[in-house]
Amino acid sequence: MRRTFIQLNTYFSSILVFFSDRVAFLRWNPSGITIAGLGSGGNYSNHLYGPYGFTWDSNDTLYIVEIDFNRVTKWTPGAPRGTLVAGQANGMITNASNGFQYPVDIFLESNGDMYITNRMNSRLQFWANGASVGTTVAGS
Amino acid sequence: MLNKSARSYSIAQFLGAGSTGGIALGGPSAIVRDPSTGEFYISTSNQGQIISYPSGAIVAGGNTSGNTITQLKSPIGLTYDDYKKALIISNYGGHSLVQWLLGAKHWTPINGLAGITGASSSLLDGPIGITIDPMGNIYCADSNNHRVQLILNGQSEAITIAGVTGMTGSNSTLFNLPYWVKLDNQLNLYVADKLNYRIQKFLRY
Repeated sequence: MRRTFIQLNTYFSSILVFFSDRVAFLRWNPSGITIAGLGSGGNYSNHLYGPYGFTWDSNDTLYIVEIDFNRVTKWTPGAPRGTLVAGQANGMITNASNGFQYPVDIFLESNGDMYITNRMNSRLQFWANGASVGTTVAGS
Repeated sequence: MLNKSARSYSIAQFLGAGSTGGIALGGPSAIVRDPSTGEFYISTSNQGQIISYPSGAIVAGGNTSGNTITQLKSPIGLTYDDYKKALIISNYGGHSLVQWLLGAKHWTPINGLAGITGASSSLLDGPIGITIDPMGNIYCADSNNHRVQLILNGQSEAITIAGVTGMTGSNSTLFNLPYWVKLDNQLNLYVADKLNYRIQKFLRY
């Protein structure tokens, strides 16, 4: 039977989780690195407004849903700005197929197709890779 | 195992052609996929439930919004534990993290007290994003406390692994409304830091 031992070392803010078959050390650098967004300033072409759900593709490109700007942008590693993949670049709110009202989360297929939840439009949008509009597949 | 409110849909509706009014989504938020079945699970924050797509079944909650053991309260964050076949749900309005096994009629508690806000190792305030690692440990963006909480598998108390409880800021160690949390294959931690307009990465030592 696998035994577990947990030691909380609050001085070093570290956690050691010990399994009899392996050691898993769970500790993170408390200083974060900003990998997308400027933090402050910028304009709608390089800013992240209300980053919410996010995910990666197989090239480590980050896909980020911006709830306050009604769009999804993708950021390649180290990029100073994102590229629009769904919604409108200027953050326009819409009930139409070319955008969103308060999108929250994204599921990314391996071929780049996306499922995007749309909180205020109460719908699930399917947005094909490279498309300029989405299709409502659930909700209204 | 689907509950009694499961419905079947025509192929046209499945493919999105024509009317899509068969499934009502009130405030759809998180979307996750069940790797065994391919179904999507979607949290609907306005309805206090988790809905399966494309089947349309209610797989958790669905007993109006609330804090009792059969209810969810503004569930936004959601992840899926494929080992246990359980939904792991973050109740933003209920300030609690709960586990709901597929086919079950109620949840079991993970962290937080349903209906009670706080800022301790056992209380939360506006938990949103939630994720799970391969060892079954749970990570949560405790937004109004501006921190990320880790609940080790089988434990009930949480440990703060990023941010400082109750303190906002824009430097490298603080958040201003952490909303979403994810891990990569090396268990590095990523946080959507809403009012700092950024995604933060925390390297695992």
